[in-house]
Amino acid sequence: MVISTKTYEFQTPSDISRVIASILEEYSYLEMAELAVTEMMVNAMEHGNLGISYEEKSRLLNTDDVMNEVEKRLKDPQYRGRNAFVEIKEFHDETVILICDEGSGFAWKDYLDKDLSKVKGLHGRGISLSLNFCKTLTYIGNGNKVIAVFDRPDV
Amino acid sequence: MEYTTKNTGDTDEVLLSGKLTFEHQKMFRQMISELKESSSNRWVIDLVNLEYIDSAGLGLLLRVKSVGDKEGKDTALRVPKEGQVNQMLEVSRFDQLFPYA
Repeated sequence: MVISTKTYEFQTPSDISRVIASILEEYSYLEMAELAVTEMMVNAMEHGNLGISYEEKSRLLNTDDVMNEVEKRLKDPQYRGRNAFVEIKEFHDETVILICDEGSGFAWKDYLDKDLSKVKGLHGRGISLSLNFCKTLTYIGNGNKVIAVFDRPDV
Repeated sequence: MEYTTKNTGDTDEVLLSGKLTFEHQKMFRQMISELKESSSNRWVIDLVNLEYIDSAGLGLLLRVKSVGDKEGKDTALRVPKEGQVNQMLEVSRFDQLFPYA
């Protein structure tokens, strides 16, 4: 049985920081969820709604231009109307967090290895790291929806 | 995130504190520009007082190493013995990617 449900909307990097701060204030036991939820929200913004591909991000990181590109695309009519959401559902013993965006998804199956020893580049660690810091992480369909589950202590 | 830079002759040490996340890319770019202007041969990034890091923060650390390699500098990390930052570096096998001071 669902104990509570709350939804947050985000589009920009500053929205992500604000929503994370609100979540941690409202659900103090979710401190250990900060990493996974932040990683999923940044992915939803950059790779989902703003359509920055893995290869584009590699190039942008090498010229320190990721944030400039994010800011540029947030003003681009092709992307600027897109929203992303975080929905938090509390059950008796676990909390289920759904993050969804309006992008066209990505090849999420390529990133589900918990072992990071093969990742050497400037990016591409977010999903693997998140897998290490939550109970389960499940992508749905084309990858523009992801569900992270965390234990909910007796409160 | 905040950073302070200390020059000890041949080495520039950068002490990071607070959180190093996706939000700090511009600040890191500024920090790298400052390091590039120094005539030292070695850069040490001190993470002992850093409280939190995400995957973008890990990428920024690797970016410093990549620039250091191009500039002919020895780069190294000073890592905390415990806490979230230590855990993230361990899970990411950073010891295989970056010399530790």
